[in-house]
Amino acid sequence: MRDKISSWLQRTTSFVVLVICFLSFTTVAEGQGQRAVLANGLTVLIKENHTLPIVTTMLFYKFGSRNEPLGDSGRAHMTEHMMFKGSRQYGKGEMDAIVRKAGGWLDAKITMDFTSYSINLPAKEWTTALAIEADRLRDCNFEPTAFEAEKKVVVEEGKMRLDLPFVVFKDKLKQVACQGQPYSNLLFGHLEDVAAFSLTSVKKFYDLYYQPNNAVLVVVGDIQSSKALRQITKFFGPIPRGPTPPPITNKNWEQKQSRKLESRADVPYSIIEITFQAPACRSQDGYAMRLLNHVLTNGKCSLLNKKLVIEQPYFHEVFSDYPETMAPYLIFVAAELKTGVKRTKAEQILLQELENLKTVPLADQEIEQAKNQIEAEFVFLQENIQSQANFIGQSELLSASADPSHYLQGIEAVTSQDIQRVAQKYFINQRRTIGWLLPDSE
Amino acid sequence: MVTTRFRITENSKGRWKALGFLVFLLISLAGCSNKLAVQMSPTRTVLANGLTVIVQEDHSLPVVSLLFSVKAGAINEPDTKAGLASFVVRLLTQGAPLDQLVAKLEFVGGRFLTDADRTNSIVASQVLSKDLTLALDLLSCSLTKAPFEPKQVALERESIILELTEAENDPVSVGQKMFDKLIYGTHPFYRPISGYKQTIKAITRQDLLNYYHNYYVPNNTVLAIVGDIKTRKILTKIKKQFASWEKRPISRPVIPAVAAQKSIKQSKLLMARQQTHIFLGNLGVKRNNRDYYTLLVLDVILGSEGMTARIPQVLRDTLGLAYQAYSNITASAGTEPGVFESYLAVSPENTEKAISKLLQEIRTIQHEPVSDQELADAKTYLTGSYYFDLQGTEAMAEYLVFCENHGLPFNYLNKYPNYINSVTKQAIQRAANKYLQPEAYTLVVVGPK
Repeated sequence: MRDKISSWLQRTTSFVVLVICFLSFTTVAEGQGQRAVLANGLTVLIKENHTLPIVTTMLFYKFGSRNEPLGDSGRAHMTEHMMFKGSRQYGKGEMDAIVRKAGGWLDAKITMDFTSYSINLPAKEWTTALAIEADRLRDCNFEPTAFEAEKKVVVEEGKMRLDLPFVVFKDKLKQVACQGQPYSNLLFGHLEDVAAFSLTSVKKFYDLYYQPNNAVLVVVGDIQSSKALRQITKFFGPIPRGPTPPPITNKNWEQKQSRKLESRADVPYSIIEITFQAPACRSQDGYAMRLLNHVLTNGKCSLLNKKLVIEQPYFHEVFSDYPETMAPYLIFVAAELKTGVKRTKAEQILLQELENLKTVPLADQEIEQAKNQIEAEFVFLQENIQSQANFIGQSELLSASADPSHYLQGIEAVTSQDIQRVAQKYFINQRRTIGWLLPDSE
Repeated sequence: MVTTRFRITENSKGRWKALGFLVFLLISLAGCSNKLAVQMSPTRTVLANGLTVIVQEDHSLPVVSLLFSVKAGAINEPDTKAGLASFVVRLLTQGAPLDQLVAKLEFVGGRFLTDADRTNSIVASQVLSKDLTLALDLLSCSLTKAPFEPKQVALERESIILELTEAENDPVSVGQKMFDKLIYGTHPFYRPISGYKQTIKAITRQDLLNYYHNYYVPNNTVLAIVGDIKTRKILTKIKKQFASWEKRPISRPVIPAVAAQKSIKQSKLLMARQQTHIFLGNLGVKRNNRDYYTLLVLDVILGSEGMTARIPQVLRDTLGLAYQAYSNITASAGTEPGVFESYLAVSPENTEKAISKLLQEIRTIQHEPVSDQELADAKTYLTGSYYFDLQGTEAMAEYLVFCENHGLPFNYLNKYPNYINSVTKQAIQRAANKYLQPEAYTLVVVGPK
């Protein structure tokens, strides 16, 4: 059965690379996507989906908080806000109004690695998204009054985060674990810095990274690929290629010894969160780590949940997270302590479980379950064009291949030995940071 | 072959009725601006035991979603047992033989969800279509044979109490609970769905079983099943699967009516935080209110999330006072009255100013008609965007259950654009005056001194 689903996925998810001039003569098998690169360097990925008369357009820029100077971040986020405050053809608030009027909505997201803009529209209006994205790609307004007002909004957004103890803790943990590395930069920056940002410095950031050759455009929905590409070329083609953005000054990241963090907040129980330096996610080690992450905590019957929450209830809940990042980053394993469980015991028991993975191979059944879960998640994701567009764009950024079948093949190939190998390679003391979030009252 | 779950019709003339998706393509490629509407063709069957089954085929992906909706929620609990409905759903995933079935479903990557809101409880699953039998086995066990084992009752009680403790630190949760309490008075909606620590402690295993046996009966349940299935085959299967689930009479508490407030009610709660959270509003409307569609348009113009509506535009865009600023009256409209509620999170020193600006916007929409442009834009937004909410088998199953529970025809979306397009400026102003109360509101403020 597994083969049947795999072959179905293979059939419906692959991408065909096209040379633009032959595009109109190419017949593409149903379910396949198309990939093209415009002369100015803009990568274009198109996937038809005719289930409903709607289209999602996403423009990914290859920068995030890790592209900012160490410890001086927040401008990447600030530019994302300014992108809604007007451009050459659109006054402040007009983009939102035009998209709404057309029956859609727009949104944006910034991560450590990339910034993405998403416009969702009825199919008959979808090119409005192209008009907006092409206009603000190089001609965002940066009007001074709007900039000052928006800084206040960004500060309020930051304050909202400061009221969330787990979010604050996670930021601190990240800073300790990635000390001296670009991933230690705070996505939102320090609030006092944000309040003091100059328009010039933010505009300078914009000029460096908002270039067609630093972007990936993804369109998914009820469109005809060849016609869509012609329209995309019409809007984006005239934008000249920009200078290549500066490389990330990423020193060779090698943690030499284990680190610790202890933090306090108004929380009802203690939380332990352990991180290890982890491999780049779309690599052989990365696929094994992805599966391992699933085996550890995905579902009631997952390894840590079964052992440490159900059978021997040390914890209320256990979580793990292996974020998909462009460069090697971290895997997080966290647990909420039950009342009466000693911190030393909790730490020891959690570390022991991770240690066991190095010596005791996982059962085939456990690997099979994690593979089934990842595959099923992938199929469910195909039901929604926004999720599809996001997945395609991220795949292109993470592995320079929008073809999800590569990802699925990578997962499929993982063996029990691979998982044991990555546990041995990455779950080691000097790559580790142990964080504690403790109740104020304790 | 991609097939579609919808038949597309041309709204005005009906010429293209039932010709399938190709028609839409032809129309759109021809560049016409026809108003298109969605028509679904589910099969609705009531089984001998009273279980309502709605089946919609959709073969676009090898996926099936099953959604059981039981007409019972927090509204059915006695005051002293607040939190009972959500306590029950948490135990519908545990104990023998459920544990084994959950493990089997997890193995194949299926999803399983149980949840309770104020008026309904759901037991749902999404699986690859090859795993349909597994999902049905699990769901039927969950609905008819949950064991409520004492050990698990104790563990779940502990988890709920912990979550309630956690919520005590969350200003948004604290503020929302106080807002509901002030708005609803003695109506059961004044209670939080998750209950209170003392009521959770007071709930016995027998209470859980009584609630389960009383409400979890086929004649109180709707099942929507959407996806890669054959209607006739699945109906036969379901009849067999639920043959022993017996019809029983249900006893329900009498729900008191809730009256609109006549004067201002206020509460200020102190919490040492960076921001002050403001909740302002009044009693809202039921979903079957005749002005519902007018209020949908009003929501888009006045306060829907995003940056275009007046409240976020003034408080966020122009004044830079808040990152989050919105208001809404239709989202909470159900079989019981919902609320008109505005929410702002601002720096403490801006609290008074933000409240005053918010009230000013509410008064303005009462005193002045909205502009032609605002009205036209809100209409095109509402009539264009609803397709996005219909993506996927899960969303479709939710839509079908929603129609069933609110007595709406399954093809009601066909009429939806007409309902929206017939809303006038005068109707919005009348509705604003009738349903928004800037002189007799409830205000809850949570934040530092």
